[in-house]
Amino acid sequence: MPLRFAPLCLLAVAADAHDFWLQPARWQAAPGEPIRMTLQVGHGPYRQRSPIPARRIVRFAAIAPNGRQIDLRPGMHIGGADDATAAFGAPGTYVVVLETDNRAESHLPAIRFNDYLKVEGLTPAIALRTSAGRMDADGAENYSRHAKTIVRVGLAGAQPASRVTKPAGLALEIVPEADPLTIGRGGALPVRIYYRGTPLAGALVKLNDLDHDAEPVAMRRSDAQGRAVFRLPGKGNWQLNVVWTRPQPKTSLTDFDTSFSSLSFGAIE
Amino acid sequence: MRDPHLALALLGVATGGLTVGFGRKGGVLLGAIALAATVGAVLPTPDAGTGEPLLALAWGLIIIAAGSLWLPDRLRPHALNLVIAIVSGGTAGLLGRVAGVGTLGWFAVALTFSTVVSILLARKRWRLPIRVVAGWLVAIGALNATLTILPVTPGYLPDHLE
Repeated sequence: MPLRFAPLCLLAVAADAHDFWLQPARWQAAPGEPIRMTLQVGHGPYRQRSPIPARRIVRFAAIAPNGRQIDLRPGMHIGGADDATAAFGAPGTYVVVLETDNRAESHLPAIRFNDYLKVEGLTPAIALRTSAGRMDADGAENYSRHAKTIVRVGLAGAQPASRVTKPAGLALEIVPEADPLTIGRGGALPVRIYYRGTPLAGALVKLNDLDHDAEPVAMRRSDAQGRAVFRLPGKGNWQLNVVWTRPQPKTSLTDFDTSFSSLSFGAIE
Repeated sequence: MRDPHLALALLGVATGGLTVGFGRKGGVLLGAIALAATVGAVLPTPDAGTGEPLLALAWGLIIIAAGSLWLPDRLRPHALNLVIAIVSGGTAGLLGRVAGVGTLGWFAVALTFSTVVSILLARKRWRLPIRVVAGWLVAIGALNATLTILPVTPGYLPDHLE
């Protein structure tokens, strides 16, 4: 009996090291004030700075309130005291985006890979492995990260926050249909999930309280239009995340190409 | 830190059911456990990194407490039981401080239940079943203690870190 429990204990440890997000040191700053950011991975006791190398980051930019894209790569210093610094002169709400390539690989034993697919809600992948008779086979995937965070510069209401509800062009993206920074306690936060530009149905979206993130606060499946609606508990540091995968060509060395997407923000109401 | 609930519950069973139930001056031992646990629980919170060593210590104490039941009575002086009681209580208190004071409930409930059961069994002189249980606890403790010091095999490395 004890031997059977041991791998399950380690499964519970390992299954939590999936999520990735941009974490600003503060969600609100004065015009021109530097905003320090770190790249975080994992939740609860397994949360840590991501060891991702800078060469894998293909896009790090901010979308200004007027829609202009600002390249933030000069402010990257991955692995330092923090991972990036950005400063914005004009007041308004900025959406900072980060994307990586998909050259990261994950190779897991069958039991862990199946558990990871189940935890992240990747039911099409489970169905594919089941129909191919590969549930006992180890799983390998390439994966990429697509993270967004919302920061506010200057006083609230100084500029219309129009870009928050618009897609930023990420391969897998969580797009809020209402500005999360203006939703009060208990208010509805509808989001739409896009995968390669089209609404994605059946994706498991999780809402995490970054101050108590051992377990998600809420989980929703996106509907046929790719929409999911959450209730924001109130003021705090929040993060939404979603994962999606697609099978690789048979000639590929891995089985799946997986995208991880997140949206982090600080609710101040 | 790995989940401490099972370790705390089995530490309660080993300390209460075996050390107290089959030791002399059970009242003194129970008091020592409670005092040590309280002291451990009110100390300044240890660093989060002390969680795993405390967990390993808890499993080691389970082995010691359970294994000592196999010793002849002349080799189980009251002093040994008292030391086991104090160190177990303190470890449980510190572990509860790191993992959350609510986890101490597992230790307290297991301690209480196993103490009552073992006192009843001791009066009937039913030592053999208790020694069998002690053997199981030694095996479970040895397995879990080993897991905390083994290098992680590649299949169990944390995944998706980049």
